Amino acid sequence: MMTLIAYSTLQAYWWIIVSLLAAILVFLMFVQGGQSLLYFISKNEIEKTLILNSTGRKWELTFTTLVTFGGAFFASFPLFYSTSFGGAYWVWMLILLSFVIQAVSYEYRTKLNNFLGTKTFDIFLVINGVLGTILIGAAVGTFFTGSAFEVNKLNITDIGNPVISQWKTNTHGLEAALNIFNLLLGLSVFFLARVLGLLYFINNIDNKEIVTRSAKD
Amino acid sequence: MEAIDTSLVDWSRAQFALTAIYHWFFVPLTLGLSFIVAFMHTMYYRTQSEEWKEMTKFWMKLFGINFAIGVATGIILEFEFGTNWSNYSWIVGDIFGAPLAIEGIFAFFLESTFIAVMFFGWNRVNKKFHMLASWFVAFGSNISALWILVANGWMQSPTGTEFNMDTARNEMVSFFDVVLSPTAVHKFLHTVSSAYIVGALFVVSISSWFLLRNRHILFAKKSIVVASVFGLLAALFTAFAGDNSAYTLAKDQPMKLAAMEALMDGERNATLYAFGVINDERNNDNFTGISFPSMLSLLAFRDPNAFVPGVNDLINGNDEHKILSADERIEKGKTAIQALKGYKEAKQNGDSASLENLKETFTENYPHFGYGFIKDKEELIPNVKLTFYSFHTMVLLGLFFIAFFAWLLYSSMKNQVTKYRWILKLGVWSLLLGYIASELGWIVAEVGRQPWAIQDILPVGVATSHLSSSSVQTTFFLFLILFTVLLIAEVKIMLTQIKKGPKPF
Repeated sequence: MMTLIAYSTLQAYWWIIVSLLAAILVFLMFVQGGQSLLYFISKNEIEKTLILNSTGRKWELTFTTLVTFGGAFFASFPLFYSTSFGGAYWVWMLILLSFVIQAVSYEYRTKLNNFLGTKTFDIFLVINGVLGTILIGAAVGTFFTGSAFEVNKLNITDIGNPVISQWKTNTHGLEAALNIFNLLLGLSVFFLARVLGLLYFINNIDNKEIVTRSAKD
Repeated sequence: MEAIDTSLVDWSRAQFALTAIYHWFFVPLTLGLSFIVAFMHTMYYRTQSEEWKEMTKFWMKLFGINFAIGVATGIILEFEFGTNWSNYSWIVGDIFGAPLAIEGIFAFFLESTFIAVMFFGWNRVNKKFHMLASWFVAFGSNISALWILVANGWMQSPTGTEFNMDTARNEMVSFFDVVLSPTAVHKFLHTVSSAYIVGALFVVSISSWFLLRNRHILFAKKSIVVASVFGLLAALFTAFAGDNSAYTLAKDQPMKLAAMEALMDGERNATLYAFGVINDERNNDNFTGISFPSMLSLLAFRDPNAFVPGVNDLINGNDEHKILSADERIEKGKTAIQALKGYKEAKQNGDSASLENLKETFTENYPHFGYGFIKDKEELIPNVKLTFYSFHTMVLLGLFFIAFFAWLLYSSMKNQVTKYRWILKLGVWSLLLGYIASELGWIVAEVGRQPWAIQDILPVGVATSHLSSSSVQTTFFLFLILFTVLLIAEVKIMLTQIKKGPKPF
């Protein structure tokens, strides 16, 4: 009985950590929100630079929180982690790709001879801002709307087909991103991130134009 | 339900190999260069000379360009365990996930907070704090490497854990056994010190190029001194740690060791090859090359007379040396799997009488668990040729680096480093050799342990996710294109910055 209590306490404890990380992650997505607003708020190169310098000092915090969130989820709820990531393959892969392009963009966008050009890297940042937020929202949405998957731990003893969890659809998570309810949560995360982004600009950038435009939006 | 097809497993392996190889283009430089930058930064802090300041700034800028793409390629690897190896993730979550989470919480935050101070701190923060930030970045990235290598070490030699029959998962019993397992420790030391070699070669390579062009002479000469001291120490230590790795290999992964030396029939006084050509994969005698008698026995068991098992011994068994054949191990593995199945069913039916019995059978046969999934014993043999050639090329390059750094240091001391142009040209190209050696090391470690995701416990075919191979194929090419484009961008930016050179002082 003792171990049972300890186990459920441990689960609650882990749940608190993972939720906290998720909450911090959403809060820190003002970086993505800000990136998605890049072309709406800035009207010239200087303003664009101001905006990106401002989010550019914080992007690593969001990024590392995502990495930590993944590691903590892996460690604490492996069955959940493996089912969701291995099942909703495409949603997670697209999220990751959008963060891969973010990680290089801040460093490379203004460097000389950067092969793709500043504009491409800026577009990468906008893509990350839009896709990253919507898809993370959609991925979390699947926890609420439910997904068609199957877990059978006995499978491990089945030599021909030992994988214990599998998605029941053949689109491997692509359908989850297109589900209207998941998308709604995705869009709310997206707009929440944009609001946070705007508030961040107002507080962080000392430029009248940007502040008034942010306030108006 | 349709069975897992092998092309899915192969594509998943290809994708992991691709992303890992790309990631490893950038990591060694981060690990090595960070210390060189921190050292230069300290010299600047102590002398306050413009010279050291410009050196620090120049190498720091290149460090930053490389760091960004290292981070970008790294995030994929972490999540790929979940997306492509979900069964593996489920079975080992609390062992493998724990170091990964610690990496995130501890080292990664250390890195990402101090990296901003390091890059933007010039004239903004206290000089001492700024210098310390450089050290924190260096330690932070190396601690990151520690945790991920601990995780990898555990896959190669699973210790400190117990298989829980009720949950059908591996659970950690001793955190310290996992962290301090000899495999993990040696792997960490060997890998990290080899990364320092790459960092040093990077500095040597660019400095040699400046010297060949008669630019930034003083800057380049000084940088070469710093790099060759650092590189020589690292190269010597890498060899030492690599030798220790061979010792743990002989115990935990005899098949990998046999593949590395292309040893088919085991022998006493086993021979170590310097280099040569394998003419026939399954026969010891069909080998032409330079060799050292008894050296392999000595390296692997610290005893020149020791018996080193070959591939054929491990497959067909060897009664004299008490080595089980693959067939016997496959049988035992199947028994373990059946016992697990029986245990689950007995538990469901409330048949507590047979539970104890089944548990005993399972525990007895658990060391062979993974063999139960093997359909054809030939699967148990890794790619011998690839492992052999990778290993030997790596070792030869390692020896070359020791000699090369020693020469650079010696000639720098006599102020003759520019005397021979061909040495400088070699210096420019040595970086490429460093990358090759570094990647080959991983190929030895990872190809040599196939088919195992976890040594003897879980073959890769059982570790996979249930996906369609076309999905994985698509993401494979997505990564291939994206990473290649980013690599080109990185190299172009890097070359432009190098051509610009440091600010003259």
